[in-house]
Amino acid sequence: MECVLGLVGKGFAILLHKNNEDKIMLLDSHKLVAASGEPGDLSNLGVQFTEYVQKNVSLYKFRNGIPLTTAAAANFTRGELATALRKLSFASVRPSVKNPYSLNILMAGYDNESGASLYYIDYIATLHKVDKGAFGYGSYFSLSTMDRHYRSDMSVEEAIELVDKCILEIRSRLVVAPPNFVIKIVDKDGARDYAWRQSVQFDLCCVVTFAFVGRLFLTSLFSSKINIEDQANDVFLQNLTQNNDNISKQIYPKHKSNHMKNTKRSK
Amino acid sequence: MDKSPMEAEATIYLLCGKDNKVYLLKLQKGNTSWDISSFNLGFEPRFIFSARKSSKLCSANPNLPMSIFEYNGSAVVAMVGKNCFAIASDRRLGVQLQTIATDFQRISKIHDRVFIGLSGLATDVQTLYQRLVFRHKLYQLREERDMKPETFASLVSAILYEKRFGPYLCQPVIAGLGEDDKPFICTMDSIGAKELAKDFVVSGTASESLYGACEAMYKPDMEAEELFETISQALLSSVDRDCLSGWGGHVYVVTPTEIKERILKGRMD
Repeated sequence: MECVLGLVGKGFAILLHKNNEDKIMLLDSHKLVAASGEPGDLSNLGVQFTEYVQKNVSLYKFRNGIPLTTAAAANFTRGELATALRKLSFASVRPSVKNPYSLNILMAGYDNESGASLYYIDYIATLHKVDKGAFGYGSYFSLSTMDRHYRSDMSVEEAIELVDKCILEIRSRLVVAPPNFVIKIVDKDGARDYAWRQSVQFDLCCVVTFAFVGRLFLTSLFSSKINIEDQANDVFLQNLTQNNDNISKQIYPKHKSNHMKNTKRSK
Repeated sequence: MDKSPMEAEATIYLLCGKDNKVYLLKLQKGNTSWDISSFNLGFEPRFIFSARKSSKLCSANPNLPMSIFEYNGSAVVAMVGKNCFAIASDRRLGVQLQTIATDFQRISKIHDRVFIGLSGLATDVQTLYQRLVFRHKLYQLREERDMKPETFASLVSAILYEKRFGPYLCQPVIAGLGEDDKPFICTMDSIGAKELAKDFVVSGTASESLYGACEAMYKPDMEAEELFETISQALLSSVDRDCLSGWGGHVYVVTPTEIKERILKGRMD
């Protein structure tokens, strides 16, 4: 199961993706995009589509000499998804087969004129500029957490605290919680990896992406192939895995319902 | 996504209460008898609110197949006043029962005297709006003037009917000031059937409540301020009864001399 989260802070935006593969891609030096979708449908499709967007963003820069703004890149992505939504696939045997992408995208970027921004693009090409967004099952928990704790002028440290709260929530409440998270950030200095939150190291991939806009940083979770740079993770990690163990060991009493009685009455 | 969103779950639910108990009766597709579940309330039930349509509530399934028009949730209303008109919408953008944003723009300006509010699927709202702005700009270049609202309504109707067998899943509400500052409003369904009205038009998931509220509150020949009050009250009270729309309102009151845009704060849920 994939979760994508993002939020906007003061001059930065974070995207958080849980995955063992890096599903948060750099569109260009100051943009990050995280794609998530239906399981089984995503891995090739998501990479293909985001690479397609990435190459077109670069093409614009080569042709025109200036990079695209985040808003323009988001609208371009939205246009591609919208076109594919109702396009008839002529290449297939049955000409009436449509070929839409089932990809949910969070795009975060930093522009000098307009600061940090985060765009939410649905799989049916609904585009909206947001301060905080999330996709996947993790969104049910993390959106509420972000609603409670988010402020529009958060610093990077506060935002990372909020990210950690969301991760904690996802890990403790979601049965199919992804074990690993990567945090990436984009601010005026560009897009880069920020930190990892790993509890298990293995090569499976699950993606949780959430993003919030602050100084624009994007978080993504990576596989065990990449070394963990942030040593502070270890303590945090231990606490989290500890929590997970405690929860899994609890045995909940079997619920016996005396109230609901189902009776069939024939007409 | 393996099931088409247009298939409604063919189950009828009835909720009733009596003798300290609440009964839920369920008739499923293919069955000929009702399943009854009862819950012991402990006190005599006084008010029971039940879902209007079986496909909307009464289930905790997060993937409940709703109508595709109810996927994002919307409410748009336009009213005619004396040489002015008002158009209002809610601000919620949701994905079925989850709210994504509370500042979604449904009403767009085509030019200073024509506004269009689009309800329905948000992606088609955005696509259709971009197409219409494009067509209007082309019209402006060719004719060197703005489109009349009646003409614009015909344009929208034609564009929607072009996609008759794969339609844009949205219902537009068009409002404008025509010749001699005479206000014009109309709505249409998703394949372009125009409905002209002299008083008010509504669309969206809250349309049934809106019809009732507008009918009760509308008076002919209202001035701009009174029109604003009326349309705001009608909108807010209607979206309060609809779970898929709300989170405030966006009202434009347009007179021949000015456009006033106001944001309403209602029940933020």
